[in-house]
Amino acid sequence: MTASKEWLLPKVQNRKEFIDCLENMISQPLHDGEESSRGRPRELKTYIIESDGGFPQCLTCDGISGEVSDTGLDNMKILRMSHAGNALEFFLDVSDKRFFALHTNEKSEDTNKVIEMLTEDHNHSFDNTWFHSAMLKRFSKKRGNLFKGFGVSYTGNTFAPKPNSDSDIEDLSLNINGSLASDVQKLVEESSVGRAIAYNTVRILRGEPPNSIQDDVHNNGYFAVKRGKSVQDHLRLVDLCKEEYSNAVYNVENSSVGVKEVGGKTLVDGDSFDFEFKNKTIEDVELFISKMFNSAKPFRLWGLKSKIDTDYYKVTAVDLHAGGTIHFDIAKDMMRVVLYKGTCGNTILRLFTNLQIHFDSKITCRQFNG
Amino acid sequence: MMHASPHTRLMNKFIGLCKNTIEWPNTLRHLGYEAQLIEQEVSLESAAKVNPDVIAVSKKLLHAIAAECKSGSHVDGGQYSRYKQLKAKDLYYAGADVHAPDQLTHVVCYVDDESNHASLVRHVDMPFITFGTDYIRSTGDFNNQKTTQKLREPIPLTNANEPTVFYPFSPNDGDEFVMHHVLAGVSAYLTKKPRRPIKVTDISTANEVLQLIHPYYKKISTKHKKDLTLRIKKSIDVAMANKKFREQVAKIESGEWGTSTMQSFNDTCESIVDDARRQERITDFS
Repeated sequence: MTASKEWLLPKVQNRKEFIDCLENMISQPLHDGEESSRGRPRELKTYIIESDGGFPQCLTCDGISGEVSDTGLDNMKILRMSHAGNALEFFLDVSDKRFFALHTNEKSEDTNKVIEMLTEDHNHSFDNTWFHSAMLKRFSKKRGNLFKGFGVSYTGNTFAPKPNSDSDIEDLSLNINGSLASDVQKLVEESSVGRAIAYNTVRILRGEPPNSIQDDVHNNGYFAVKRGKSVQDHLRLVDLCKEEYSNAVYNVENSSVGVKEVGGKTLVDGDSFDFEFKNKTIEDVELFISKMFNSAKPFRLWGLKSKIDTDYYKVTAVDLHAGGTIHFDIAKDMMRVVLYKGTCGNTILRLFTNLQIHFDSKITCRQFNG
Repeated sequence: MMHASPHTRLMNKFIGLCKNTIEWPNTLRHLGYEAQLIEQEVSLESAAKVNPDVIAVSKKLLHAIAAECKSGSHVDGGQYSRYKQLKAKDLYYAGADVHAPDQLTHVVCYVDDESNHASLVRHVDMPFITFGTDYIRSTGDFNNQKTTQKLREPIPLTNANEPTVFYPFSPNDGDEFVMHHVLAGVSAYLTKKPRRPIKVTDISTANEVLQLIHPYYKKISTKHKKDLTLRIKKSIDVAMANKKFREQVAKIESGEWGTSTMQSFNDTCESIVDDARRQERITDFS
């Protein structure tokens, strides 16, 4: 820990002190019509990250060092990290032993970078949490939540044959917040550009103003407070989303292929995850495979392909986040995916969310009713 | 193109009928069948043993199908007569999971390919499920009215991409096919978290790789496990004779890897699989 910054987060002794501390991280509420400025430094933000190997006491990865220290609360720690001369502090909620919440009000440029580096580092098994479009929509409809806006980010060039060519590439970025959001949402989804509508954020209001909060919930598990002061509602929103997400991951893992014990008998078990490309078929399956299994983010998959028929391939892949094996059958109009027991379920949600963003937002996976 | 052995393909096709998977008929799943046991030895009342490839059980119909996948045209007379002695209770003792074992009925069924069906059917007086290019056809009495009725009509396979994902490989598969899985297993083994000291050439590594690439490892018999482990060890040794592979493995072992290392490692693995294919062809011709 080489950073010389004065550490500010107190070793809170009880839940009330913790809530007070987060309240102090939220800047004064904005008045109606007032817009928040880009890069505003002092807003509360929360990241949910996943690690099935727990959270280590010391972090050492490329360009980052970090230490975890105790507070007076059993499940609340302080994580201090140094990166490129910056010192960053987070409250680290370890009440869930696999899905960790990190709360901070450091600058988002710095915290986003550090979280990105952490989740890409192969010495640890951290991953983002991946909220696909249908899940983001469901979050906004949960009891006590109100849909207030959405952000769309679709890029068609990830799987394009020649990324540097002059041919048209479909790209769409859009942010709509406020009273017109629902109308614009309907208009866009029913229009011909509907295919490009993959949500990367939804804005959610919880509570009645002035005792409320508005959060932008991003598809990578990042929650940014935009308006309001209700820390309770922010934390409740984070927990609601985390609960639904962790259930989805455990459900994926319960469907993985392998053996299970039932009443003293060892039975084989498991199902495939079926992705259907109804709206847009794969133009060049071999190229698609080379892009998806290139070991790089966002898919983080390594894979060996074998052609088994015309436009039909088998890929035996490895999830570089945790090292488990995944098996794919890929044709122009579908992808059959099987996880072996012991492989992290996050992989399937990462795959689904990113295929929506980078290939076709209307892709469906039966198991997620997407 | 790379194909699994005809036996592994039949296994996947039959298990696929017991799943709800995209672009493949779910005829048996629809009747409640689950592929509960794979390659499970079953002890008969006489203490003789049979080894059906798959035992599919429908809790709804209280009926079990003991499936023998036959990729060749040879019928083992001893095995055939033992299958004739198989009783539903034997399947229950072997681990079939039903809520009313006393009411469990069963059938032994041969699963084959249309290319060798004509010769097999001459020697076997049991129901068949036969996979063709365009249809799945079934013959015989499945000892359960609903099952027999459902399978009576040919099942079309138009635009059906056969599943390859439910059963990875067996010792009967060719070197190229096994190499494909082994190299993926080595990659998983090298990148598995948490990181630990590893040595790819150890026999214990071959066993760990097997656990990563075979989902039914815990159910495989000791002999089968030993055969597969030796096969994997042999594949790893062949790969380690490749200088690039050796260097890349060392780099990944040391933890000093990034995206470009993994991409190069992928290229090397694909070329080793290609070499295995060429070698297999030479062996086939000689």
